[in-house]
Amino acid sequence: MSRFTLGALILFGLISCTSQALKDSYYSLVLASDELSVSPVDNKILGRMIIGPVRLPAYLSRRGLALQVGSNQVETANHHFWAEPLDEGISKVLIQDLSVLLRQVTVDRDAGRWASSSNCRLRLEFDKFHATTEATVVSAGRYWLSSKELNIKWEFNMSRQLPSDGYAVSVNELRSLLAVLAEEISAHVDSESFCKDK
Amino acid sequence: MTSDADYTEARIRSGRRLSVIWLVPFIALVIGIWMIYVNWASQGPIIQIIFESGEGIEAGKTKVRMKNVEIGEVLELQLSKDAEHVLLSARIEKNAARLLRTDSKFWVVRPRIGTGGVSGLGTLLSGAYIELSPGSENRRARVFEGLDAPPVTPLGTPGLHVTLDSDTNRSLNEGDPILFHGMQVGTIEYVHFNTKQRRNYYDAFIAAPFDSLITDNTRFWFISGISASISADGVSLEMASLATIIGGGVSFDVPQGLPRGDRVTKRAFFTIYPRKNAIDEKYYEYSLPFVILFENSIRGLSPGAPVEYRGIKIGHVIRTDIDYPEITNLLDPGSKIPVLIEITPARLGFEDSEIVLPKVVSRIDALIASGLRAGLATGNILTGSKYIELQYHSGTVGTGQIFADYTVIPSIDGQIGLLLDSLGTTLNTVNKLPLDEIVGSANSVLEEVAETLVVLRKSAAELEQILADPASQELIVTLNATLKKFELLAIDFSEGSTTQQELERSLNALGHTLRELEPVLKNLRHKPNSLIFGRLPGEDLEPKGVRE
Repeated sequence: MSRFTLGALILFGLISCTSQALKDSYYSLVLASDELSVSPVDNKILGRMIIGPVRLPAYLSRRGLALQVGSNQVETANHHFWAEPLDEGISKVLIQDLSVLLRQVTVDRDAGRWASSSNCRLRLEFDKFHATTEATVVSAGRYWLSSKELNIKWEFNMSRQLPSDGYAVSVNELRSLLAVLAEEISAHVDSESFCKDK
Repeated sequence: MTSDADYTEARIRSGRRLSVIWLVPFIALVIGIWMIYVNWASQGPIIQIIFESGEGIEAGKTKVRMKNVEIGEVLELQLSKDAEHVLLSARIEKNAARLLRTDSKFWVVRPRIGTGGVSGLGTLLSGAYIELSPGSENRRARVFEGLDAPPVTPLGTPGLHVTLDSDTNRSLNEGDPILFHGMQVGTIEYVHFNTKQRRNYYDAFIAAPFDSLITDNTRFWFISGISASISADGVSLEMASLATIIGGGVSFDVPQGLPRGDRVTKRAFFTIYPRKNAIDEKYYEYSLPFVILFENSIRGLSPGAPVEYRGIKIGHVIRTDIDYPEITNLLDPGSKIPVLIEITPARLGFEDSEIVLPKVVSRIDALIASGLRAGLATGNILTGSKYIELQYHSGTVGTGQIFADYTVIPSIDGQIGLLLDSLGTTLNTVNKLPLDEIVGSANSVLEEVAETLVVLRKSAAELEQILADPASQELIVTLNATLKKFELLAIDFSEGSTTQQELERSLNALGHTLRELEPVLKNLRHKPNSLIFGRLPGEDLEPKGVRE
């Protein structure tokens, strides 16, 4: 009896020493979009574009959201996480935006089998995709449009100010930067008649 | 009554007085003289023209015309004292007397058919007449030498007179055309053969404005309607206009590579080259003669044949005859046939200058000493025409032989000689090969190959035995079954299969789990007891918005 009482007291003591748990937050780029509706399909589909792979640096591949706190210092949040791997989220958003912008091109995710049958592909590599303590979000890197005839590379580097505090706002702004990037890619696809085989 | 004093002595006068009536014949005489004078003064001069023949000319009928205007009439026709010519007297009207100059020309217009066409058809009905081409000299003349045919170029035509000469077998006739790039720009006016020089001379006229094309670098060459030549260089065929097909002609141009030169404004002399190629060949002024002595036949080699060095034409053959003092008896088995050639230094890359000639001679001497040889090569299989080919043959040494004051280039007789030379060189090389060692090695290799074949044959027999063994047959069946199982296994794991999808799902789940563990591991790294006491207490640093 005395042993049971002693054990109960110790457990109670330990539990009393613990602090109250902080709430974890999960963020999704896709949910941040206002245009989640399915894009209208144009009858005159002239080509198919595959998006992927989307490559991220190691600090962006982590679950926690990254925050640049100095010129070369990054912190990963302990309680604010991406709801899905960031590369998948970026792919989905770009597929969604480009499908709207490129009416005559079917945009698909790289599912392995498509890669061999598709004539054109969009590959992306991000260097930055995070918020900063300077009240901005930044997105930088490069992307390639490649087909049998051409392989062109473009660099991008864009930023946006944060209107208010918090990771939720920063995720919304990062989503906006992806929309700008999709417009830029769409313009290049049109100017090069890329992915329009017929 | 009258007295004697009353009577005066009568003076007797002579009764000879001309009657007034004589005034009539006197006046008639004066008028007659005046008429004779007027008649004489109104008549033109009487001229004499000497013709080879009086064909078609009649005294009192045949007229003298200029541009179809009658300006005189034939008065008398008689033979010369030597009876070789016809002397014709004609009266020319006074107003045309100024046309009678020393260079005026007369000819009989009668129907003519020639290469230039048909002329004088009108005289078939009207009869022949004498045409005058007025002169431009200052001095007047009364005696003229008539032309047998109308002058080719009317007097006073603007242009340039040139004299052409030729010593070839080709000849030209009066009226033959002179062409420039296929267009007639002049004619041959007069042909003269100089018996002393054995050359033809042609007076030619180039009409303006084409006379400006004649410069001091102009070269003339013979053309004919159809020109076919088969030489060591091959077969060439050229065709020109119908007129030149019938009569031939002369063409001119500036050779390629030469500047146009200064325009010729006065009568100049030009030599006519036998063909167009010749004008380029003669472009180089300086050349060096050499002799090649051949032991065998030189049939097919003719003057003008090219001399080539490694395929490039550097000269041509001048002579192939044996008219040399050194050749006394061709029947002597040791006698050789000399071929005189000319090498143009400019074609070897030297300057076309007299200064470089000694240098070229010494270089060729050095080459001869090192093995430069001349051989006969066939240029055209159909005609058998040959040319001289100079080749550098290493290993042979020449000597500085002289023949008829010319340096001799040693010969290798014909391509057979060249082949024999090459064959000799090849045989020498073969002789130098270590054939004994090679044959020995080859024998060793063959022995090894034979041994290997024996081993192989043995192995094949053993393999046959193994395959015939029932246990081996069973092994093969087992292996086949195993391979089929492997194939089924591969299908199970192929893309799109259920197994593959389950595997992919499992890997995704594993990745998801690892990502979920990431914050836990981070907490454990910073706070090892966090599993019991909870995670790090601090809140995350959050991004801040813009402060206004």
